[in-house]
Amino acid sequence: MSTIVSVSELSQRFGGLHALKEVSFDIVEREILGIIGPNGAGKSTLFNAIVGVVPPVSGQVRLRGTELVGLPVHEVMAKGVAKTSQSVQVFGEMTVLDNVAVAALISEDSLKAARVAARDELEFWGLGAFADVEAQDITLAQRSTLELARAMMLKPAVLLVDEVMAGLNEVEVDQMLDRMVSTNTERGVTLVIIEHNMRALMRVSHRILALDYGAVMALDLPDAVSKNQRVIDAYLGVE
Amino acid sequence: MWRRVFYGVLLLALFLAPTYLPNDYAVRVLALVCIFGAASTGWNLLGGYANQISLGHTVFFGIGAYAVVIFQGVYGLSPWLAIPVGIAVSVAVAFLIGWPSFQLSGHYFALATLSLLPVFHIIASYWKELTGGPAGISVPILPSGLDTLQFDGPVPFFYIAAIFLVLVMVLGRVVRFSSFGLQLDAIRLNPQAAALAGVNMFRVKMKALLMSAAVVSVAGSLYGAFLQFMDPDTAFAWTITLNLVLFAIVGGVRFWWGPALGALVLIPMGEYASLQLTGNLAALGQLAYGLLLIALVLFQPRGIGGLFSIIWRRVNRGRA
Repeated sequence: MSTIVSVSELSQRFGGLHALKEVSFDIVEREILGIIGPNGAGKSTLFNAIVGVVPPVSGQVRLRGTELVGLPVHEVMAKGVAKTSQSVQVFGEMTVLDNVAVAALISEDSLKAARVAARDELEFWGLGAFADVEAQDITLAQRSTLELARAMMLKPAVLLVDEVMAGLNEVEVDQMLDRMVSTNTERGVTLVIIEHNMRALMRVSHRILALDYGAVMALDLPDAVSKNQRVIDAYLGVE
Repeated sequence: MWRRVFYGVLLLALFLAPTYLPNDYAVRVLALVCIFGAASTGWNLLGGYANQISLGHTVFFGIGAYAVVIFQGVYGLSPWLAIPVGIAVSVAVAFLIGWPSFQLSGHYFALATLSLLPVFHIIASYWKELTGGPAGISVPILPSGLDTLQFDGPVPFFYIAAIFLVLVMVLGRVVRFSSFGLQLDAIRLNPQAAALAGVNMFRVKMKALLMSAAVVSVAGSLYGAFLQFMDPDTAFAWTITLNLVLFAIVGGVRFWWGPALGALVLIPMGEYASLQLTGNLAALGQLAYGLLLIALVLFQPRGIGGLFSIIWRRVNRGRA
């Protein structure tokens, strides 16, 4: 149980909005950490601050002791923290295969080798049949999955997954969970998952972090968090 | 297979052009198509492939052009020596402009490059010992030959320009289909996703900018050798940047052959218009040109290349 990423006193502001208020927590090596919270709790903002898509105003993020805050996004990726986006960021007019191959170039010198690696990764995520289709021509849920495949090409130690199950039916959710668990157990990737599908998230997470109004409300085992009164209040509302 | 035959026919058509073109004037126009087509292909490496719009590439063109004219006209040195010197100066200027502006996102790069042009126009106008000031420099008439780049007719020069165009287009094609080209494409399509895919955008853009500046500089050198004269208004003219951008957009920025196609269509059209419409009608040509561009941007923003790819898809679908 060693810490792989340590987030300390991370704050983010957008004008007058205090989107993250000195958020501190540790991510344990090879765990699956689920993140829950009402809309606007700061979940995606937290991810964006960790990888530097929108750098935080203050605070630290350390990956095995190395400071990540202040590094450009591509360097954070290279150091081993990858991320998918809730707003689904793919290259629309590029084939699904090349979408993933771009990321493979981080470790492959030749485009040919990058495409071979990309094809394998697409197979893993069930997108093999769409390799030669342009990314703008697949469904939104598939594009989300495509982002996962692309992020995995960076050979991350930690993967931040932002809402990839939206738009999936129950069978697809089960497949996605299987793939995530295998990514975690067999491929050894530490996963941090933001997800609105609570049932799914509780099933795979080792621990749950609950955010509310940009602050940590609870960080505990799934059972304990689901019984936490503050969490219940935040979700269901209190009179 | 058919692709190779097609390329072969095009190459043959290009290199046999002096035999079937009606006169020297037409050969001269085609030489200009080659020079500006190559320059636009160079601009496109960064401006088209990565959508990092430079409005200052005239400067690299002008530096290359001045290099040749200064070497030959002031120092009596070979124009061939001037080409690498032009490249070196252009690449250094490109590096200095890219270094700060590529660290920022948004339109800073376009704005920074925009500011280059007046700066170099002023330098060329006031540094009289080197550039001859506003009056410019002419190259004295020298014995004709490959070493002086002066020839009796336009045909030998046309061949030099044509070979240059082919080399630059090969470069454009190699880049387009390389891993470097894929990274440029990623930056063009979605910079945020490119960063999340681990692309070092600063380095990729810088590499493309330096390549692009070098190509445009050589094109400028050929232009200088072609005119045998250079002054600030010719070297650092707004219209050159404008044309490089237009040729690429009209031909299609996504295609390695787009800018050359744009030059091939627009340059002869402009020449024809200015031949046919003289006196009070001269402005009419400009007007028609403007209307055509508006129509193109409105109805086919991907250029002629985009039109081709739509037709190509239809044909393939018909076959399948």
